[in-house]
Amino acid sequence: MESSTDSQLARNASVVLFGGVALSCILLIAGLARYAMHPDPIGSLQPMQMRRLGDGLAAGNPVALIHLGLLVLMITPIARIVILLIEFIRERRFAFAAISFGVLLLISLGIVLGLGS
Amino acid sequence: MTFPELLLLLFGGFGAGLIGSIFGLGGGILIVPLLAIVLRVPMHQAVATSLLCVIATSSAAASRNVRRGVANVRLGMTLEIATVIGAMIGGAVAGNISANMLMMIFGCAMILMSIPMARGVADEPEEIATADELVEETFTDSLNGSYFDAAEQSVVTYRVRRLPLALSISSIAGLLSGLLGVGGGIIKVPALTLLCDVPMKAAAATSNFMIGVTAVASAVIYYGRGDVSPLISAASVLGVFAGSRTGSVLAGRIKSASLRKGFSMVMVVIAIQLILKANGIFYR
Repeated sequence: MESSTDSQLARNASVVLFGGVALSCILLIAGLARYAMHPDPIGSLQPMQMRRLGDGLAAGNPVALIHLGLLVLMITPIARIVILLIEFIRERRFAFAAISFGVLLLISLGIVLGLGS
Repeated sequence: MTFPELLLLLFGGFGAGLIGSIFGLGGGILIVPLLAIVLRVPMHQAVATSLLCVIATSSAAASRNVRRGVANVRLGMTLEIATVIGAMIGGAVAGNISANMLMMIFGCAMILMSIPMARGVADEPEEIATADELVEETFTDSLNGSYFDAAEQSVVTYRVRRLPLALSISSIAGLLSGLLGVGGGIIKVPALTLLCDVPMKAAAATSNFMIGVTAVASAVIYYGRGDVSPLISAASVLGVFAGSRTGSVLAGRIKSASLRKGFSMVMVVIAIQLILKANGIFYR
């Protein structure tokens, strides 16, 4: 059953999800608009290495902006899990905190597998 | 990528998101054929793009559903363990099979998904619990939920049953998501409703709540493999996102049984095109 603390939990999760998608969309729109003005036919087709992302952003590279937008999008659901994990610990619902932690671990494994491949 | 191609992606994505949202399928099931057949995007890139679209649309919808208390957060988190494992396996398997095989599997899955599409939404479960019945004695009891149904102007309380079955089905939905870039709601929602006695609205909202995390579990694998094309993904995500938001507004007004049946036929035609393309027929 829903408890009174569930509403706080829901509000925090909702804010993270909405904020993440909104920020991601802004970055994607900015990146596409900049690309329309300054097309980069080579960079646009390549996945960007993480260490080059910072340089690309500093240089105003549109593809770097788009990559950042996509990364923010992928981080959004992960941030939602972190928020729920914190809230579950605060509510002393340790079974659900352990489940949230397990999901986070699995996704971390996916990230390691993804970056390693 | 040329500017007209970008515009085509934006508007095509809008159409895929709009239609997918109206029929409760999400944008993935249509954006993949659009990319693979019309724009000749490599199949693995099409699936990766679809996963990103799924993250955007489901996160936005989940934000609303969680705030309104319709999504069952505890049930969703519990089932996410299964969907994430399935999605990671799906994402890893997809990297080891050819584009044609992936296209073939997608076409077959699309035909299977057209069947529940044609039949319509699942019926409500027969048993809805009263608030007094929901005593937390076991872990499964702690997954029971309640929400305010605005249409009925009443609080709906329900007891979750057959959790192991829900976990098994969720892992299959996750596998399909990772392999094909779809949300998997078409499997989870009927299962939660018919087998676990979760009311339809809560089942759909809870499934949506899970989809973003499920999709990100395999999206990072595709991203690491270099299957994410930034421009294609950006235009598709924005198009599908705008389309699905518009579709969610229109959904209640234009849903009808005959329209659903018609759309399921369109799904079969698209699926056959994918299967033909996978076999090098007509599109070589």
